[in-house]
Amino acid sequence: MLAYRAGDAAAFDALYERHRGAVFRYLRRQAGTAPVAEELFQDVWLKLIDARGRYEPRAKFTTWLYTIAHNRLMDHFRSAARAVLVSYEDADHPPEDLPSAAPLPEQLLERKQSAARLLAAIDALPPAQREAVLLQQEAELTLEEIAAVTGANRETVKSRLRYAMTKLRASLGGPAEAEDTRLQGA
Amino acid sequence: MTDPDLRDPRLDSAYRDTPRDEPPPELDERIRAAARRAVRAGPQSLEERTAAARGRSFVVRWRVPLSLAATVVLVVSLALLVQEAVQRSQYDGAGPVSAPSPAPAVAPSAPPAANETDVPREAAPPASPKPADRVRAAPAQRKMGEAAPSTGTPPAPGPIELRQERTSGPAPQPLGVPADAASAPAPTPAIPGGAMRIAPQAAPSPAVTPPRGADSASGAVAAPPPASALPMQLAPRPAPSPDAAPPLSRDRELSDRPARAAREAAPAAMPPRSPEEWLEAIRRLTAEGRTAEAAAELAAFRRRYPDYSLPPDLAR
Repeated sequence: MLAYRAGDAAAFDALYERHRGAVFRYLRRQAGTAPVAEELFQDVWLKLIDARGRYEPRAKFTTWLYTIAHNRLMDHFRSAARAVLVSYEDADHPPEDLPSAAPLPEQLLERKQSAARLLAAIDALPPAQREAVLLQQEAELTLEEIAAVTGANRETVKSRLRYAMTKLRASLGGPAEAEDTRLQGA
Repeated sequence: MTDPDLRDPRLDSAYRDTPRDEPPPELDERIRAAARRAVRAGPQSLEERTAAARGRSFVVRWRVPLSLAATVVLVVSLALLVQEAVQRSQYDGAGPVSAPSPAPAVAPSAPPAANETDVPREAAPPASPKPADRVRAAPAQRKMGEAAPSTGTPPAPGPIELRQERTSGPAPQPLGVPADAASAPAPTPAIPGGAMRIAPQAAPSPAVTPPRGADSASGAVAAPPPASALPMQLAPRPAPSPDAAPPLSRDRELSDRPARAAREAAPAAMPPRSPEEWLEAIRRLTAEGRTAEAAAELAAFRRRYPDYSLPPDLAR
């Protein structure tokens, strides 16, 4: 980022290539729909480009980048409340659209199904817990970095993650366990 | 993040198997193009931003020290001013000469006498007062100049007090006012409302107006600076010299000649002096055996300074 701030356009390409997927997924899995995620994604990067002169390497670049993304997401949530939680099945890549029709080993099929259940469980998490999980999984941030990005303290983040992990493990445990969890939640 | 409650390998693995959503290629291209445009147009704006950031940081860095420095300067200035004011007020309040009351308060009770209007002018201290005294004398002068035409206001209480002293006999003149000023025959006929006639002469005029310092010190109807305001001028002030007199009109000059001559002939033995000097002179007279003169001086001193506590050797 320092190189890009100094005028090196290639440095931006490298940065963008490294973070584009994770940032997009972070936004995509919170914003709900792909068009909204694309709009937010573009805003985040344009904001980063615009703020390059003010960038100071006080923290990890990833933390700064996800702080911008978090703030943009919060603005989005404030301006348009997320009225409808779009399930993963309604999205562009629903599990049934996976190339399951192709001849796949049974184990691979099981993994795909597990991933689909996991994404559904992530989508069902409360927003704060979901964000903590996504920052952990996509950006690979530590507790402290997640706290810095979200503006919460470390213990709060830890608590959110613990609750989220319990629910996600339950979603991976199998249909029966998931059903039990759902009943407990109800 | 090594807490097993917070990190589950099975869950991590399942998450890695989720679809790797990516932004569409056209969005990538838009963003990269924006980044390149910013870099192309960037050097100038970047420098500006850097300069602005540097300026901000300079302001931020020096804001507190500059504020403190300004505060210190302000406090020191105020302290010096207050100290000076306190010293001046103490000096004025503790001075041996009682300060006269403001001119307008006393003026109506004074008898209007045309020839007495000359007295202040002639009796005015020839030496230019200090600038501060000039400033103080100016309002009184203006007040008198305004009041004279309408009410025939006689001179300010300062001169009245001096006249009273002068009529008290051969007492020395502590204020340096020539004793003959009041007693000298004024050739100018006493015209009722003379003060009103003279007052305009004191008004600024290009031809006859004296310099500002002399004007404020010797205006015809202007009260001389309060005695208490001139404590330092009492002792060292030399005898009035004709050269220091303010320039007057031709008529006034002619009419004042006898008074001036008498003033020049006034004994130099009555210079202005402070109470301490006066008492020292009385002591010298007593030591020389001139007890009668010493007693007369002491009586005059008591009349002049009734509230002054005499030293034990003279109180007897």
